[in-house]
Amino acid sequence: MTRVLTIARRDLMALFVSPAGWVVAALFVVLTSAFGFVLPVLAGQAATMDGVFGVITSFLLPVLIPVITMRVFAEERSEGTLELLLTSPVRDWEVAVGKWLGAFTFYVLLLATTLVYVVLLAAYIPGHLASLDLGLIASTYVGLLFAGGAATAIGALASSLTQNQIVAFFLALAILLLTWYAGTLLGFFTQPPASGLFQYAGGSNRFQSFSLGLVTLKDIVYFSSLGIGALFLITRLLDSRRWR
Amino acid sequence: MNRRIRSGSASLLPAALALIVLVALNVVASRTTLSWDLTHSGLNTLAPQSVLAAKRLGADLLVIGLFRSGVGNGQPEAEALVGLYQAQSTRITYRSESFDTDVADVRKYSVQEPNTLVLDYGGKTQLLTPALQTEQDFTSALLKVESNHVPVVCWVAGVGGRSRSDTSQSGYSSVADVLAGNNFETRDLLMTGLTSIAADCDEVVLIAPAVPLAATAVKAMGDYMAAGGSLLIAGDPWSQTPAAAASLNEVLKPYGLAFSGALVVEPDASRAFDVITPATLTYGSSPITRDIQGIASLFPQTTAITRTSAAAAPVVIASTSNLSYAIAAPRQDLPRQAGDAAGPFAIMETLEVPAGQKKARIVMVGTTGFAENKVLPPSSNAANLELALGTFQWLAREDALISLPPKPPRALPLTLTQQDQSTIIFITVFLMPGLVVFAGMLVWWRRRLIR
Repeated sequence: MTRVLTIARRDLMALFVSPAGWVVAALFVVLTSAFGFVLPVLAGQAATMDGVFGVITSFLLPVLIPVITMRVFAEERSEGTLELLLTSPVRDWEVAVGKWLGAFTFYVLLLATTLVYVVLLAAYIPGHLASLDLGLIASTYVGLLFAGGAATAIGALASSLTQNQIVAFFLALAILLLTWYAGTLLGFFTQPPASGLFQYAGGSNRFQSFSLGLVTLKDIVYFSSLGIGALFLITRLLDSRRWR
Repeated sequence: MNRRIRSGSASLLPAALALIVLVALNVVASRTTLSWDLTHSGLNTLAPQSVLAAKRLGADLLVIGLFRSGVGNGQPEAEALVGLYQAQSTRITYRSESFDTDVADVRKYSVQEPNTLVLDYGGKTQLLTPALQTEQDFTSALLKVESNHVPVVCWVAGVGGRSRSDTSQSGYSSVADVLAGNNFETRDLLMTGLTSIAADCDEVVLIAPAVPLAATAVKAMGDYMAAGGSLLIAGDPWSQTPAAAASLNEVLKPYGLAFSGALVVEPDASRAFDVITPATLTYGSSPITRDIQGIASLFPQTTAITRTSAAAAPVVIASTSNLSYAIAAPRQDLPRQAGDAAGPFAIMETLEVPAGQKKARIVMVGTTGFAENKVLPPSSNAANLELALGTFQWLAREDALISLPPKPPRALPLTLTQQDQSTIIFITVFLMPGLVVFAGMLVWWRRRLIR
């Protein structure tokens, strides 16, 4: 576990010292503030976090996470440091989980900045914190943690497939968009039982319960499976380098 | 080469096994309904009455969601609600379809509006339009399809006026479809030679006749109401046959109410589609309007409902603004003139009057246009469909099936002063991104110094 944390810390620090990390953070804060918070709350005069969560699910998850994860393996491969890492006394799964954890922690930190909006809502709503449905907000954050965990794992998997960061970005973007939206779209254009299967497999559909305040076991299993599956594949890919 | 194949196979096998395990886990999980409602007010927890209604289903209930894809179509909320009922009964199955491509279901269930839920319980159906998808609506629909009682709507015929089979903009074919889709039986009530109204008529619909009602028919109507009947009665302004309008008022006379016959003009643009089509956004408190507060209903070419007796105490469902006025006699120019009656006017009212052990129910509407095809889907997205359906259900006493306490909205209103708004914009749009940019530049500067 110590080795996992060491790798995670190293990758997290690498994000903080790279311009990409700060550009992602700035872009995220500007978009959530302007389109997710100011417009819905001030224009709609409603104490809601729906706009913020909407920006996160439509922009941070499919677009910014690939930016965060594109370098985790691809950069190491292009610079030849992945071989060094793999020949050091760490197991493949520790490398996979450590690198995922680094990117995921960065995502969590980005997510944490949105707590400022909760504080602002609590400050301005009559009755303050007692009036806000904190359970509803917490449930959505739980969903964002699971969905983000799966998305960072998928992004890391895309990065492990290539040594070109741009390719890794577009690959992750394509996989995430497919995972998030394709199920819903295909569900509309197919007949049962296929439509039911597609709709079930659509990430956006699986996230809906969380955004309604409901933490559902099947949704947790879905996102966990995506994340664990991607991490498992990364481990196998790293292992495959030994026999190639 | 053999070593590579062996190693490759050894690597693929665990991957395939892991994939199978994860898919199996999801299959098992998809069959569970285990969930935790974290909301403060139990937004996702059914009331005991709803749980009971779901649990006592004796046959399979098919719920079909006919949605049009797009943000804000209500699908997540509707499906989450259906999921709560499914968690209580394995007899409830759900499938989601596209309103635009699933023509078979749209036709079969006479669905007028996208984003409608259809409940099919052994052939008995209920349609829940977008405004009628709360827990109370769903549970009421469950109770209705479970009930053996089919409400009978007796529609006055043989006196001219609007037709239920007329599919033109001024026809009532959409209403007929809505009634059929919601498990009502509609039959004609011929006025010719009418001396009494059958007791199995749960409600009588009398839409502005074109010819005067016979005295015997008016008396039959009075007897029916005195026995605790229900009546939907609609008038019109500037009647072509004053005797017909007078006979309509004869029906209302015992209750101290009448249609004025004057055309209501609504100059307040915020409360009108056009000057002769008042629109209502806020309604009087009634089970009919429970779900449509804040959604506009249109009242094309309406007359006012007036009180002829001080004893009458109707509930005003819809009214016009203080700026409105009424023109008594037909004329071309609508701007206000001296002699026009000043508003506000009641244009839709309900009344309950004791009738022996029961209570007679009356809904009065100042326009026959309130339920014409032009103001119902797909021609219009106004709340007239819900208003009309709510009216028929209230008259059939289906409102008393269940009463659940309303749940608070997901987003509470926020009243922000200009100063508050400026502070919020400063913090979120300038301070927060500024801090991130500043921190980034600080890191860049430090790394530059180290190098």
